[in-house]
Amino acid sequence: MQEQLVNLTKKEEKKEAEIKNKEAQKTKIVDSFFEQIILLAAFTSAAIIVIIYIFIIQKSWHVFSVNGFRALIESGFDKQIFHSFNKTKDVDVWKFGFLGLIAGSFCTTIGSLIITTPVGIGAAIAICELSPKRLRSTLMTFVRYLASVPSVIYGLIGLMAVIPFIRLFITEDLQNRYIDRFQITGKSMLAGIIVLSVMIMPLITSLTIDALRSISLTYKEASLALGLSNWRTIKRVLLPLSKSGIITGVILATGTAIGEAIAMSMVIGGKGNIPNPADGFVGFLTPVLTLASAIINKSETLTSESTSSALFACGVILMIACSALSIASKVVHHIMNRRLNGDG
Amino acid sequence: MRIRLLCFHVITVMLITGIYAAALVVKNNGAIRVEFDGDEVSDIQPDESNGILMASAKGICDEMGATFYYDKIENNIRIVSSDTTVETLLNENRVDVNHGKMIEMPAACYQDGKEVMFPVEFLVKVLGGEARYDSSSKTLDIRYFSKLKGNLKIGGVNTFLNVIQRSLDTLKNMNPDIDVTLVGGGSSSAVSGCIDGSYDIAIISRNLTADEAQYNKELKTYKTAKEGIAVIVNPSNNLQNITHLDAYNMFSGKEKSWNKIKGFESNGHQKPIFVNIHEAGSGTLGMFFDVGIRAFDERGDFADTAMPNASNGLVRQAVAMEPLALGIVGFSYIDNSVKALKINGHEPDEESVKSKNWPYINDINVISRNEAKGIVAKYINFMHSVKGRRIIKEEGLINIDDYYADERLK
Repeated sequence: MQEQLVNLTKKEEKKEAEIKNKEAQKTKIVDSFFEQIILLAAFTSAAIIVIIYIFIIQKSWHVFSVNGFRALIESGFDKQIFHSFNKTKDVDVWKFGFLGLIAGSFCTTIGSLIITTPVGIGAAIAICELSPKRLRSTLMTFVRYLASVPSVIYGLIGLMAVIPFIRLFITEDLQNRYIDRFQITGKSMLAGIIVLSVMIMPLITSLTIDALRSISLTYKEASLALGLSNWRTIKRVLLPLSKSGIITGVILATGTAIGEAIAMSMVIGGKGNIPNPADGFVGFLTPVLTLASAIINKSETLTSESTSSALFACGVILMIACSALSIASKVVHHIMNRRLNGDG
Repeated sequence: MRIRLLCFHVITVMLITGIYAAALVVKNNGAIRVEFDGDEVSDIQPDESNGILMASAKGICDEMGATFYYDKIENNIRIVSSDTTVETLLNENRVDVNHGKMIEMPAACYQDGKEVMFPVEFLVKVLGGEARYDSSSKTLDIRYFSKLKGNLKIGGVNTFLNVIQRSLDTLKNMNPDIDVTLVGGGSSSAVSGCIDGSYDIAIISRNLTADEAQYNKELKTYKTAKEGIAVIVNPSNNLQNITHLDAYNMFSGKEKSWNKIKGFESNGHQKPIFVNIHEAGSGTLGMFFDVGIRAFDERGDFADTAMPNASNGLVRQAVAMEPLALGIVGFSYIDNSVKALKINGHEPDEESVKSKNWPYINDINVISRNEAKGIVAKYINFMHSVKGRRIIKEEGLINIDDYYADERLK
């Protein structure tokens, strides 16, 4: 009797084990299936980048092959694209020079970084270390929210508030003095820098905050216990430890600043001038044009072969700049980590 | 007394009704009522002779959106709509349709005073419409725009968007079955949409560029309307009138100061001119470049300092904000925030454009893939018809049929 019972239970156990086995196999198949799909998705997204590169380089090839390296060191894009579109006999329709646009992108980006980096890092320190504890999460939410405001809103504010404000400082005498070279109307590099600074500051701030918060408390406590003041702790311990995060943030912000198009094209004037350092402060009032906003502003000319090729060339320069920046951020991250680990 | 008053009243009432009825009968007897797409029209007044209705060809063409042309010297008659060309000679009873197909007319066309008379029903049919004459009620029922089927996708330039929308609304009211989509934007996006097939027609505010025409031979241009372009300044500017040459000097950057423009009263200060133009690719800018700059100097160009703006609205806004600014916008964009200058003493209005005294006139063209036919042709014809012209006029643009008809006949 007992043997039978034992046999029965054994049989049941066997059955159960078989069922479990089958189920396990099933889940295994399903799992591997989804794994494959996800892998495929990953490959697709990598392929998309490559395809984009091939596509825009192929579209812009003619411009680069005709102009060669000169494309990067000659200016006058505005006129070239207008004449190339409204073809007349005496115009070389394939001649383009992007120096004005590169200068515009460079100046606005660097200008805004110079303002934003100290302010953004300072804001992060203030939020993380100096503000009362209850306020911290609220402030952080606000900073993050600032990053999610659509760029066109920043453009509108720039157009309606920043430019009239800049105008307050412009005199007729100044306008007269520079009319041979450019119009001083307020739509200028300065407006672009201000708008861009507000746009990229939350990026730097929130990445710095993340870096500061990821530092283990022991470092801070050790430093305070050794008798360093709060300020010295921040300067000597916390900032060096979060360096890699901060630099990544700055590089990402640079990428955003270079690629920003809509808000920029609303405030910078849209004329591919190269700001002259000899002008001093007035140089900031030069209307400029950036690579990204050139694509937006001149998109009406996309139907023509040569002009669309030129706009794609702007895209290629932008893509290369942004790719270089993201590679740079990876490299910086890597180097910093290794150095930290080596020290530790 | 009371009975007498009653009788008087009754007689009066009867008299009035009688006269009214008689008038109706006389009216019905005298003229034939013409209904075009359900609306009674007055510019087609057919006369019946030998059982055939004859009416002024001009009136029929106006209603159907065709252009009528009678050359008195050569004696030939041309009727051009977007999908049909009819040619004949006066007093001839055969017509040549679409270059080559000869069709017999029920009666010869003839001249009556200033008008050239055609057999109505015949002409309407040749142009693609339907005409039915009911002799008992003396009503001629013509259907042309109310027999549409199919769908129509339009990419339109923003300047013309109101006109397109209103004309589509009118057509949609007459034909609830048709399916129309309208997408706004710039001229170039409309053209590229037309090339790749996302739009049936593109309505643009310029002519096709050499590139577009060369690489896309299938694109056909139908001239539709004209837009006057005005030179505008800030309202605080006291200039009223400039010459065509002044405009060239200012826009090309030869004159950089308002003080040197005749008619400008300054308070002694030098006032620089801030030129505002459109972005490359704009039809307005291309036209102004040809007429305002290159007409004076073959190698001329816009001022180096000229600031580009993405649209007519933004040019107006830039000029409204800047006391020293100068710009160009379409007539329909002129409002109180800016001041439009007279050119050579001519006001910036429809009259100057009609009298051909206005230098800056932009073309608004309908571009279709391949020759227009079916609903596309009907739509283009509608823009030329009496109803379409009214819409164009009310939106501040100028239809080409009355003053530039020769351009359509080419």
